[in-house]
Amino acid sequence: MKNLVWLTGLILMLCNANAYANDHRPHTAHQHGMAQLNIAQDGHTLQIELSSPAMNIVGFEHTPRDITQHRAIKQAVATLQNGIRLFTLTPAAVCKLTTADVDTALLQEATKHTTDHADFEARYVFACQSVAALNAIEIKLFALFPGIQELAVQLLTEQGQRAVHLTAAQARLQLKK
Amino acid sequence: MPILSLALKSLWNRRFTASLTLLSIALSVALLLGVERLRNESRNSFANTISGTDLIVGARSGSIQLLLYSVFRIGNATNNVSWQSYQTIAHHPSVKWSIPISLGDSHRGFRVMGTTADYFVHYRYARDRQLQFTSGAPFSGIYDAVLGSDVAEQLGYKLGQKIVIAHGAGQVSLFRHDNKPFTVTGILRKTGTPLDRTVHIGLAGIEAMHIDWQGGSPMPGMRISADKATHLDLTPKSITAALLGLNSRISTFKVQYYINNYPPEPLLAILPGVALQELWDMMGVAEKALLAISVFVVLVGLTGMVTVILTSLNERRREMAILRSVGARPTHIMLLISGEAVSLILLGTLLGLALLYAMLIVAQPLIETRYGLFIGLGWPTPYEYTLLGLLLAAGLLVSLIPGIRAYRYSLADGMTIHI
Repeated sequence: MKNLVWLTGLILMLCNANAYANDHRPHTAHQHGMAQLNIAQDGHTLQIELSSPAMNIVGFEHTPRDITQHRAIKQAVATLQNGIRLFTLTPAAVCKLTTADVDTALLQEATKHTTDHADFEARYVFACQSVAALNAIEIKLFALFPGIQELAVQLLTEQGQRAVHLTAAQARLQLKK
Repeated sequence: MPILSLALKSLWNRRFTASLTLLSIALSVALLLGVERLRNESRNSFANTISGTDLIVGARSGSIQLLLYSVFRIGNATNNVSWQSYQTIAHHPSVKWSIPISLGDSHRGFRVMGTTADYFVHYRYARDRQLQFTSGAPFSGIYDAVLGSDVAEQLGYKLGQKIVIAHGAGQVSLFRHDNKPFTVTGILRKTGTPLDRTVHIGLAGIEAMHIDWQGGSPMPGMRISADKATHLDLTPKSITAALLGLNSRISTFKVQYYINNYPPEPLLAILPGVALQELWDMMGVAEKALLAISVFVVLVGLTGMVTVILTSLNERRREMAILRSVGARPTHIMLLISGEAVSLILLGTLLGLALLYAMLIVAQPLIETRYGLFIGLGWPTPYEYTLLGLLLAAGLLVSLIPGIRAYRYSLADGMTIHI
């Protein structure tokens, strides 16, 4: 009997440790109205990562409680999937969207009903034929999601690393100085 | 034209007060441009210090702090990174090269940095420039050292020189690693970065120096000779920070995320370019304040000039009456007085520029050795020309004040001489 208690305890502990390892999310700044855009270019590849509090995208941060909220999430994911509509790249660069992944904790049924914050994460990969012509990215996120008021952009290109702040009034990201 | 020569002659007549006014304008111009120059050049010099490094890894603290101590040797680390963690990160599939850095010792006021020979291969500064040697080669033995150009120049060191490294970063240190002298095997070419003021040695050298130490001081009764230390295990236990280069820029954010969430140890990975920008954003306020102060100094200079001219107007009523009697019109008088002010400002600006360059020539080597900042002696930048243009416009405007005053005096007084 004593052994059994011991074993259960051990198993519980292991489960806990495992849960910790899987759940270990970074405590990145989560500020409503703000979203983060990480952009990296190398060779012909341009990668854009978007991370935004769910509040900016759908207006709530809990698992959907009714059919309307569920539909709102589905619709937001569909909009975010459409990377071509979100980012207008210089046409002369001839860029094609090759990957678009959208993920949100709100869609995971298993997510416990917590009061925690939830985010939308999206990743886009473009393949550009002539990178030299890629001068700017017009960011349409502000128009599509009015909840996003400010974008903190980290930009990595051949010209080095830069941080830029964009707003609805200044939604054009200049890639070259 | 005759009015200008008249104005100059009249100024020459009052050369003492005029030269003082000139000096105050010149000083204010020199200050305005000097502040601007210093701001620009310090930015450039900071931005030129590191290039081509994708991530900097250190103990978890602030990104600016990590950037300052790992790259600019300003301030100190809060904690170290264990050698094990460093090894794991260095062998991450996305990592192309890594340079470990170990700080904390010094040699006659110059920082000593422990690293590996990879440093000389992968480190880049300015726009993708590689480190070059004026003489010698990278360190290969445990007790070899490579000097930055300033270290070699200021201390007069040549290849083969034996140097003793002190514990801690102070100019005067109680503890010196005098039983393990290092030999200079290489001297780097000047880079205009803090690197010039650094003594580079191998990580094994750092380890060997501290092998018979404990808790920051030599263990009493235990001295391991330099020779004996080479036979011991000299793998470092920890490093201060590491510079990483990645296979692809695309993986930067992924690797940063991996390091920031590295479970065994709280680490921080920063994007040096982004951290540098954060630093500018912080300094921006101070820079604006400095610029505002120098603008006010210029205004004080201009006000001083107007005051001097206005007070002299009363004394010069006789002069004006005489000028009127020989046919000068009130407009001429006005032009004369305004012209005087304008020429004071023009001369003051030119003198200010001369003063600035003279000061730069004198202060340049001092600033460079003290702060590692290289202030270029180039021609004024477009922004500086704009500042000068604004200054001249402001000067032109204020010069109208005594001009108009004189115009009205001469109208009222006519040819009568008031004393």
